[in-house]
Amino acid sequence: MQTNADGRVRFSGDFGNFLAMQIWRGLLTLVTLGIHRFWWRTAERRFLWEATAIDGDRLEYRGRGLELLIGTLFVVLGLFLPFSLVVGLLPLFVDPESPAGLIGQGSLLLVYALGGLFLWGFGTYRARRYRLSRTAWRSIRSGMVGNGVVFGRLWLVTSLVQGLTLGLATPWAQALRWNALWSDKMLGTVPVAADAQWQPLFRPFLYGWLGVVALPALLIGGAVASGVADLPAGASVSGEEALLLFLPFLLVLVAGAVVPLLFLNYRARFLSAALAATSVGPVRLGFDARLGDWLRFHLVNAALILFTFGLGLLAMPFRRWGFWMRHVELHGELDPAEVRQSQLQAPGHGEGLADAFDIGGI
Amino acid sequence: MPSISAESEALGQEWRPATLLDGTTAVRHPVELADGGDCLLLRQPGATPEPFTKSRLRRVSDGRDLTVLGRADHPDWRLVIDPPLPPEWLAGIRPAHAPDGRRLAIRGLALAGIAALAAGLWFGGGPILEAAAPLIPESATQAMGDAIVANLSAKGVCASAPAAAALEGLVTRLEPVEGAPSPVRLTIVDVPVPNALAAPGGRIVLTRGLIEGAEGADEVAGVLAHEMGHVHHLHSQKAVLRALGLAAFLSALGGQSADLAQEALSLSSSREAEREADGHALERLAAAGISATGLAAFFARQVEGGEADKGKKTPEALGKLMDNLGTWSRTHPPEAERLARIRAHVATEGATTPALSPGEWAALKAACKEAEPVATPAA
Repeated sequence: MQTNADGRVRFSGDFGNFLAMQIWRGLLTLVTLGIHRFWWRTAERRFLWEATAIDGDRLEYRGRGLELLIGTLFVVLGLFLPFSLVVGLLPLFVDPESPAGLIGQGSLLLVYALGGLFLWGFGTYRARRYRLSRTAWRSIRSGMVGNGVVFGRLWLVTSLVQGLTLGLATPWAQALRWNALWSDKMLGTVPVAADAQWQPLFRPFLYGWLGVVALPALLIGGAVASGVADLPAGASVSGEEALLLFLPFLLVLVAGAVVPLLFLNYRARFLSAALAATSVGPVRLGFDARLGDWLRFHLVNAALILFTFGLGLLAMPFRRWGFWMRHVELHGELDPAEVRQSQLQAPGHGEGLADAFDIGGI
Repeated sequence: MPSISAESEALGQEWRPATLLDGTTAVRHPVELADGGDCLLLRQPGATPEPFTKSRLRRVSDGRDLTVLGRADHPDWRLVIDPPLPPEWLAGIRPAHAPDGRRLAIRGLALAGIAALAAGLWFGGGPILEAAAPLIPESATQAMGDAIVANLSAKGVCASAPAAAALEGLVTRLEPVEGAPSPVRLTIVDVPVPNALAAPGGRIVLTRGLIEGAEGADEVAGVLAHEMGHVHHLHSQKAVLRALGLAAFLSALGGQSADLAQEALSLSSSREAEREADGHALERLAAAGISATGLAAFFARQVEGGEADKGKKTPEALGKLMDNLGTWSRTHPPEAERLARIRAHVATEGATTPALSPGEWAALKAACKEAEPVATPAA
């Protein structure tokens, strides 16, 4: 039994049962050349949802594997197939070297890039929407009010800005996306509000960013400064000179260990801040996992995966879910009489793009 | 009037506590349940018990620690019972996901739809792609053909002028006056196995093995007419489109059975192509007054001697041919049916003249005597 700090969230999933299910479903998926994955994913979610209770009541997952299959078919047949055919057959009809061909190739690349970014955001939104529409708590369904197009455009624009600023706009972009996504969510008729601020998160992000930028700079600068570049081949060096030579490489090694930690720190702070700025009606959320918790989490995961030669990957959804349930915070109460059934139209099928792009989450 | 509860209490009914979630708000309603045989009795505090026929109820969750029931007519309604109900109470309550008529119909429709789509793509996809074959610009087909021939010529080309002249004469005799998509260009490659192939752009390749192994000029004429049939019907262009189209489709699906499917698809259409080419050959041979006996003899030899290995004529296979030219029988599935068709044609033949004069035939046979062993690009 894993619970959060004040016991309002309880995850009572049995790890052994989970692992057994994962192995069985994983084998089925292999044998069916991947088709079974839709039912696998559904079974996984149902296991985790139904083992989780919030304020004494279990979550219910009402998704069906078939819905996921149909979603993927739509995307493959309606989007990927026509596009692949056009791209594949185009060189036969238009000489790639000719001006028309070059323009064609250029526009295709543009479509790939921009379309891809838009679809990533769109797919993320749709997957979330599907999952929420199939989640119920105390018989009240969740959902999302939008249809994904606005979010897709937002993803595209924020990604472009991120690129233009060489990544510095990332806290701003991530906060904006978080707010856009979460503000559309609803529990029945109770709206979710999110108002994450990126400013306090900029400094932690900057440390990581500097680390990434500094690495090559250290390497190059150090090599130049220590005179490695000027040494004739085969020259012998004194002890001190050797130390000077290897110092930049040592620094790089150290930076290589520190930079991921810096980004992990940023990520921990981001999630804490974002969830603290999110509320379901009058209930304010929160997340109390600190850098140390995250580090331990990832290290145990890495060990699990390594020492089982990869089988440990099957346990990851369970580990992730448990981690989240242990660290989520709820502040305040909902008046049950005020939480009325959702009036939202639920999507008929789901997650085609998310499946095709392998967008993560559980 | 005796209330149901009084009756059931008199019968010694066992009442179990449960939580009702009515699907309208998130309020938990504490209730009591009793088993009424074909229904469950639900009693809210201070109210009369309400019967719910079990056939209208559904088992949403049936675990060791909880029972959750739903209603068929009210999808959000839930009854949560902790500890779980005994099995006798649950008998007659169907699982929530048991397919009922409507669900089965939907599933059936979905499967039928997918099957129809797959069938459509399988049968219709080929013809749709092939319809685009004439649209490929000549520059592209020439480039493809040149590339294929260049690869096949790696071991050398038999560039004897008299032989080329003899073949040109044969081509002129066989070639239809109008309708030829592109001028036929012949190349003899210095490869010992007997084979011939048609590449895009009107390129036809014959091997030394074919020419030296032939027992008469009529045989070479028959094979040549067959290959010209492939050129006339744009078979190699169509094969390229089919293969690319299929590859595109399978990669879009994340295809793992790509190779298998590709083989299967190319097989089914290559037989059609062979039949078409055979038909064209017989027609042209008749028009040119050349006997098809030679072609029949050639085929018969292949059927006997060759492996019954299934042949392929996809560009992938053409690519493989670049390294390892198989025998005729491997790349042209020799079916008794095709041989029978040719023999039937021979039986109804009119007057014929030899395909080549003895002098031309001798020149052709000697085509590779002066061949250079070093790789030369195709002419």
